Formats: sequence, C-alpha cells, structure tokens
Amino acid sequence: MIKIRNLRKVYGDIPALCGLTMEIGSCELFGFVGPNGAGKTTTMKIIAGLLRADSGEILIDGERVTVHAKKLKGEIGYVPDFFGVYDNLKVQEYMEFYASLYGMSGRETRKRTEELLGMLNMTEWREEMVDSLSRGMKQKLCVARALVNNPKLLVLDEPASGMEPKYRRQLKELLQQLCAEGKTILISSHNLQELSEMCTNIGVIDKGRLLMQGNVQEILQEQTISNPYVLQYIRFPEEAMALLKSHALVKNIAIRENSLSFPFTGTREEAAALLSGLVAAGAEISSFFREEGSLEKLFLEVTT
Amino acid sequence: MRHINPVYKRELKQTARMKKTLVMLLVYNLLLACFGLLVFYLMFDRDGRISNRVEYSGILTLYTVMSILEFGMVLLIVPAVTAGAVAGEREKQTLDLLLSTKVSPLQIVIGKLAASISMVILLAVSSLPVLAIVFSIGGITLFDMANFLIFIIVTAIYIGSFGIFFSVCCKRVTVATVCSYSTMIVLVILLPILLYAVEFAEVFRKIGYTSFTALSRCISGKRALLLLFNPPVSFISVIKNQAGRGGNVMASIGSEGGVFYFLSKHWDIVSLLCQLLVAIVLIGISAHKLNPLAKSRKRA
Ligand SMILES: Nc1ncnc2c1ncn2[C@@H]1O[C@H](COP(=O)(O)OP(=O)(O)OP(=O)(O)O)[C@@H](O)[C@H]1O
Ligand SMILES: [Mg+2]
Repeated sequence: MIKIRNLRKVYGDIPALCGLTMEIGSCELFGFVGPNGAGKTTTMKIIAGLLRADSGEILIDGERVTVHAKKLKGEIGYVPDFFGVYDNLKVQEYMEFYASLYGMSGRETRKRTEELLGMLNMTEWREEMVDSLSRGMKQKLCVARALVNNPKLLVLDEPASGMEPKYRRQLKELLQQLCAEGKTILISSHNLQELSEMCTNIGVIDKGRLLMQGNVQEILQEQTISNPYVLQYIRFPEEAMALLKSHALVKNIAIRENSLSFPFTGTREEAAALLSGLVAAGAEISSFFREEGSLEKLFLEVTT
Repeated sequence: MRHINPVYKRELKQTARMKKTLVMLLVYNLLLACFGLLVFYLMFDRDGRISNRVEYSGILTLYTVMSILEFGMVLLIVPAVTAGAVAGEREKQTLDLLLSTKVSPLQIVIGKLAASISMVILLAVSSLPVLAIVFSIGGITLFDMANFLIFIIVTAIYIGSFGIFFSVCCKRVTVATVCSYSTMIVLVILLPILLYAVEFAEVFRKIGYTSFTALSRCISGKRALLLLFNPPVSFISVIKNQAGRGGNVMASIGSEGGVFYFLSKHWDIVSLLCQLLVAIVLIGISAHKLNPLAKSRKRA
C-alpha cells in the first residue's frame, strides 16, 4: 500500500529524515514508534501531502504522492499531532464542513456524520460548539473527521495522547475494527503497551532512519523465547537447587532473594516437567513464568 | 447550495455568529445615519430658515461624503480581515487539516477573499436605507449606486488580495496585518505623495523655484500611469462621473493629451481593470505559495 523510498528531509540545518525506507502493506495496522524527534511526524506529514520531501519518494498504491496529490488526498484521512478547531461552529457543522471539502453531497454528508458520531459515541454532542469541547473530545472528533471521506488509508499522529482510558479503549477497538474492514492504518504513539495490543505490524525509526520493522506477534514471540524464566519461591531446598543446576536446558542461574531466574531453551512441556521435578524435590513455589516480550524492551534495545 | 465554495460557506456561518459583526453593523450605520440627519438638518431646517432657500446640490455633497465613508471603511476593514484569513488558520492550527483534504489552495484563497468581501458588501448593503435619503431628493440614480457598489467591490478585492498574499506568506497574523496595512498606506497615500514630490523636484530643477501653483499641475507624464493603481484616484474618477466632484485631477491628467486624454475619460474602468489584474496575479501567487507540494525555489 505505502512504499517509502530513501526519503530525505532537512529543516534548515536539522536533518529530520535521512534516507527512510519502509513498506506498509494493505490492511495493516502499522505502529510507528521512535524517540522524540525521530522523524515520525515529518514522515506522516509527507505521506499526507502537507510537506514536500527534499528527495526520495512515497508511493501509495503505486502512485506518487507529489504527482497525484489531489486524488490521494481524497483517499487519506489524517489526524495531526496538534490541531485546532474553529470558533462558532457546532460539532455537526464541523463534520459537515469537512465533508463538503471532499465534495460530498448534503444527504451523503448527513448520513455519514450521523454514522461516525454514533460510532464514536458522540451523538449527544452534535449541537455543542467545537471550541467548547475538552481536549480529549476534540481528539475524538478529529478522528471522526478524518473518517468522513471513508479513506482507504488513515494516518494518525499520536491520536490518543490526552485521551482518558475509556476513550483510548474505544479508539483502539475502533481502529482494530476499521483495520478488519480493510483499511490501512498508520499510527504513531509513545504508548508501546497499547500499540503492541492493537497493531499488526510495527516500525521503529530513529534519527530519520528505519531501525527495524516487522510483525508484532512474531517480534514479541521471538523476544519471549529469549527471555528467562522467573521462579519465585517460599522454600527452595538444596535438592531442588541441585536438580535445577544439573538440568541440561538450564544455564546461568541468577539468584535473588526469594526468586531465581534462568534462561531456558526448552519447550513449554519441558518447562512443566522441570517444575513438577522441583516440587517433588521439596520446593515450595509461588510462581513460575517466563517474562512476556514487550515492545518497550525492544524499543530501548534498538534505539540505544 | 452544493457548489458554493465550502470555505466561504463556513466563514459566513462563523461571521454571522460573531458579536463583532453585529457591533460593527450597528456602529457603522449609526455613524452614517447621524451624519445623514445632520446634513438634512443643515440643508432644510437651518438653511431654509436663514435664507429661505434650500441648496439642493447639498445632497450631492451628502452622497459624496457618504461614499467617502464607505470607501474609507473598505480601506480600513479589508486589510485587517484578509490578513487574518490564512495566517489565522495557521495560528489556530486548522490550516493543516484544511490542506490535508481535497480542497485546493486556490479554492481556499478565493473562499477567504470572498468571505472578507462579503463583510464589506454586507456593510454597504445594510447602509442602503440610510443612503436612500439621497434618492428621496434625487440627483443620483440607481445606476450610479450600482456603479459605486462595483467600484467598492473591486477596491475590496484589490486591497484584499494584498492582505491574503501577506496572510499566506507570514506565519503570524500580527505580521500579516502590519504588512497589509503598510501596503495599503503605500498604495493609497504614499504613492501620490511620492509622485508629487518627484514632480516638485523636477519643477524646481527646471525653473529654480517652486510654488503652490505647481500643486495644481498635478502629476505629469508616464508617471501618472502609476496612479491607475491608486484607489483614491479611481474613487475620484468614479465620483466625478456621478456627482461632478473631483474634476481637477482628471482634467490635469487629461491635459497631457493622447493616451492620457483617453485615460482621463475612462480612468474609472481602466484603473479598476488594472487593479483587478493585480488582484488576480496576487491570488495566483498566494494559491501557489499555499500549496505545500509546490516546488519552492530554494537553494539546493
Ligand atoms: N518545523 C520545523 N522546523 C525545524 N525543525 C523541525 C520542524 N519540525 C520538525 N523539526 C525537526 O525535525 C526532527 C524530526 O521531528 P519530528 O516532529 O518528525 O519528530 P517526531 O518523531 O514526530 O517526534 P515526537 O515523538 O516528539 O513527536 C526533529 O529534530 C525536529 O527538531
Ligand atoms: Mg511527532
């Protein structure tokens, strides 16, 4: 769906993008992460046709954004990181205004507006003035607005920052639903826990370059396997320790107060067998688990 | 309704809801009405009592002064309204949202300009009842009024296009406002003063002294063509055709002969066309500058 090739952008003397190359497939919910100033917002603006790259190109469905800007803008919904709303305009009118910018007819607009406000549980606000809404409500409204033209591609720049947990959950579910309906979504966020829960794919960038990208499930699984098992105990007799040390799949046992941790290369069944062996040897174990892989850990690893 | 520029439609809706609009309408019409009543009083009541004679040409003065008020209003309001048009969206961070949609930069620019001009037309039209005083006596026809309205609209487009241009170029509303008022002052006041100064200097060089008689000579030669871009001279030429006032300027331009004679006869139309041309060029440049994907001629 989106092919980014060797994208470069310099603001004055500050390089924002230094040859970013990245690919986002159709129907992916793509999480875009990176430290502050990595170039996420810049990339998204270029995709949305709001900024011209110095060199390199972006193809959306094989069409260059700089050449087919007008057509592509009709197929993209964009939520910027910072945005404002107009004074003296009601929520309903706000939606209708943006719909009219896409050349939608009156009836079509009303139907779509109603649908979207319903989808985001905002129907009861339709008569409110947009500038009187709170920040989180405005952000929700902006997401609804970005959907007004029924875009194939959604570009969301930190849409959930400033939203309360309930809205964040709603947004997450909405995005997953939209993705299942066949939309491609590119979302940047600093909340990695949330991204790992909803995204299908992820790309990490820093200093204007792609560090890694891939399927979230695969990445997490890979990480999980390399994570050590942690064992917390109430009593751990010598016999159990001897058993553990002599186990072929266990190496480098780290001993802490009331807990042990050790890398384990075996399968889940082998882990279960080891656990019952330890219990049989008289250990009283309160928990035994392998740390789940987390994007946060990955993020910290790749960006340093 | 569907094909009306959406940016324009939204602006109108917002303007209609602003208290500022109402206050402006009230103040402006109150001023006009008070002034009209004053002239009426002077003409019929006082003059009638003092001399038993009513000078009906006073009504032309009334019309002229009301036109000046309307013209002055355009010069004062339009730079402020248009300067905020795009820079205001940029400051409020709504511009990116606008540009991310299918609407073209040209549509945005035109919608904004049209909205600003509608404000002026609204004021002009709202003052029609007051201006009707003039009709009650005669001397000015509806055709004249329509002419004048066209002149006001073209002036608003002309001055407004500078405002829009600065609004697109400047990041901040204040900077854009300062720039558009400065330009307005240069075009309206400084340009004729400068031309006069050059004229004076020339006369002084030729004959060694200068006097106030030189003032009446007005600006000569090709330089006078620059006045085509000066709204007050256009105003004078329009009013001259209607109320017979302000003939001097036209006559002295016409005295150059040739093209200038033709110009002095059709100054109003020619100057309005010239100003429209400038406006169209400025609107084009503004739209280009507003387009984020336009190639900018920056150093590589
Ligand atoms: N308008 C601008 N003028 C100058 N430099 C800019 C501008 N916008 C961004 N930059 C610079 O470009 C780089 C990338 O910025 P960008 O906003 O794309 O980062 P980001 O990944 O979105 O960061 P964040 O996570 O903080 O939102 C930064 O070094 C920033 O300082
Ligand atoms: Mg950002």
